[in-house]
Amino acid sequence: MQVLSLVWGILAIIGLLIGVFPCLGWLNWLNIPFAAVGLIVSLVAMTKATETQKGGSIAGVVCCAVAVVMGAIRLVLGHGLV
Amino acid sequence: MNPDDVRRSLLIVWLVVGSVVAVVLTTPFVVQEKSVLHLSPTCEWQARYDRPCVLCGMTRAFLAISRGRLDEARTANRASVPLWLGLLVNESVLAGFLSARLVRAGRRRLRRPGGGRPGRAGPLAARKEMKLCRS
Repeated sequence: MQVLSLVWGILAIIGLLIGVFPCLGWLNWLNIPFAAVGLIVSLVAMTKATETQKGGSIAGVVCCAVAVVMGAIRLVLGHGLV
Repeated sequence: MNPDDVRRSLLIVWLVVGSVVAVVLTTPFVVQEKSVLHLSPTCEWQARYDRPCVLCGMTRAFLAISRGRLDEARTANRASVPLWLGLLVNESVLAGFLSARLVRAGRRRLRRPGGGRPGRAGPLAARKEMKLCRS
């Protein structure tokens, strides 16, 4: 579960970075729901993990949250298209 | 954070990205040029501001590269050939890494007593065990 949340977070960040390119802002319409699901998965992983194993899920939560927030800002800046 | 978890996660991400890139690279060889051009959307930047964006012409360039028309690809988008080469290098490295890993796993399985099946020790291992018991 830790690895899954970390993988999800990294993929969300990669999606965000691709969405930053001009003309590819619409990609955030796909990336934000993806990151939101990842955020839920990471939160579940964080609640289930012991104190010593929480690192991966915390990183997943942070990455997915950043992807959601920054993706929303990018969508607003690009008027949802560009 | 466990470094093994990080390494495993990065490997999985590399595999996912590599498979997406493989689809992107092989599509122009498999699908007809007309259907790819029909499916690809028109650039919103071009439509709004009447200026080409960084990635404008990349689909046409990738199609031209797959047909061996490098000059046409360079005209469509100057960054297309280096980008295509970079993606190809990434795919080659990934393929090499995966094949090396598979070979290593196969060798490990062969070395294991019992013909590679876990939990089934061969006659040699049984004999060794008997010797250990006797001593």
